[in-house]
Amino acid sequence: MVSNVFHPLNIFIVGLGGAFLIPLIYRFGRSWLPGVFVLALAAMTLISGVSLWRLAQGGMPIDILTGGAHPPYAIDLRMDLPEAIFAFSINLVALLGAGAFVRGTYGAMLLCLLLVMGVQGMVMTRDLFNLFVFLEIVSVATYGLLSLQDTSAALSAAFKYLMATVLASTFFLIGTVLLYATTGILNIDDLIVARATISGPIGFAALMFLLACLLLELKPFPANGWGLDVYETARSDVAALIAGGVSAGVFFALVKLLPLFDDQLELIAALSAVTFLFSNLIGLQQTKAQRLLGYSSIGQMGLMTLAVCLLQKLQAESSVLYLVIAGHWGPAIFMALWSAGVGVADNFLRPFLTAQRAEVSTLAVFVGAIGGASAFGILGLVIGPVVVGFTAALIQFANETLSRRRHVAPAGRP
Amino acid sequence: MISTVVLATGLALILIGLWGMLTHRNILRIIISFSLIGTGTHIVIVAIGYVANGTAPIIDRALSVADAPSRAVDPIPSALVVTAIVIGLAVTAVMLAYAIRLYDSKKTLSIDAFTESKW
Repeated sequence: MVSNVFHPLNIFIVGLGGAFLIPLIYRFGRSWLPGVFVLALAAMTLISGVSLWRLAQGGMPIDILTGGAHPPYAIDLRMDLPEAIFAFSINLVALLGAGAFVRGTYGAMLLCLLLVMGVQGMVMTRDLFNLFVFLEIVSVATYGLLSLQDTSAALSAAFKYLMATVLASTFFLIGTVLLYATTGILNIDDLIVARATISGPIGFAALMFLLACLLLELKPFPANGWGLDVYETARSDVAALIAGGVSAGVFFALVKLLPLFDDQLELIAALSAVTFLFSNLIGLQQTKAQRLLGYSSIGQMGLMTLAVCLLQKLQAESSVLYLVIAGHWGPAIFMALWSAGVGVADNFLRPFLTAQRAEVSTLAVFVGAIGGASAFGILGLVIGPVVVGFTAALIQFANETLSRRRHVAPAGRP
Repeated sequence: MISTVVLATGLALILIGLWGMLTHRNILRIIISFSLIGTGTHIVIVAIGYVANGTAPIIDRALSVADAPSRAVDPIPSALVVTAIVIGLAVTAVMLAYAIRLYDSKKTLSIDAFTESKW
């Protein structure tokens, strides 16, 4: 089945094999450890890169069918263009961030490999239960990575994250099983084709459970304190991996399942819009760089979810693909910057942000909303306040920096 | 009939677990509640695949291919539940590890003591 070394299935072989080898290498040749870790990440990047190149040249999508059978007897993993773009960018970003992990314990490298592999599983699988399994692989790896920081605050934040995500996974499992009870199908493509047969109270409950899991995992406002605490207290590289990798996997899962939620598109869009708006506004109030970046990451996921719902509503599938391509680079670049720039953020950004809270008055937000609405219509209600908020913060920042009084007197309003 | 009783038991366990998770403040009790939710879910999965008076889905002299759709228990939920149990075990182990480390940091298992993050 594996026709050559660049077959997408090898991503899982390298990921799992590397994670298996790392403890052995730790025992027998510790100095080889960083090399093997980086090599495994590089191999996964290369494999997904080759797949991406082939698909971009007009190659056929690659279907991996377990046992050589077809669904419903087999689990289908697919590598099409959107999957290849996601997989490649996740791998590339992880490779760029590898420097932060090689300095840590062997456990950190092992869990990082598992997490990156698991996210790609979430992206590639076309089977609902298999999606649950990969979601759990990613979650367990995340719990392990979060425990690397052993301050009391980090541990309690991680435990809270654990409780929220375990509840979300349970919802996903219940939703999957109820869908199976209603339709007898687990393959996502077949479920989308048979969308009309998902009816009645059990079918509706199944869809609601699935949606609840995916939305909870995307950390909607205001139920996102558990995510923010983790972003704030975890090791910066781990927080970046969650913001860039895990969120990307969950987002792709939502995009994949979105045709099932045609009746709930407005609801998802509204929740995402609220998340985007308030995450950005509250983000302005933050005094810690990592929490601010956490808000920014959550806000961006909200914006992407909003866009993907509206495009689905407009039946603009090709644009959904575009968004998948364009939207994913946000968290990816963010993660690369975060990973590479941990020192910069901690030493440079934090003193700036703690020196002055970017306080924005309600009046400015109101004016922003009115102005935005008149310029862009309904969408301006969201864009306006954010633009005004950031502009006000920038003006205040420039004002105080230029007057050079910030270390002498407490920060005043512009 | 058996299937209905099993299904109701599973759903009741899920609800008891959810209630326990939301009302208790002790970390170990919260973890036990999670286990209850998990067990309840597993029971629901098994109940969904059950066929009254059914037999194991192994085609041999006792079960012909023609009989299989009506008499054999659906094997997929059984396969799913085995996977779900393994995953549940791993997650419970991680939760208990966290409980130990949280206890080490504050010498208590009450979540009220962990005030750094808002609950």
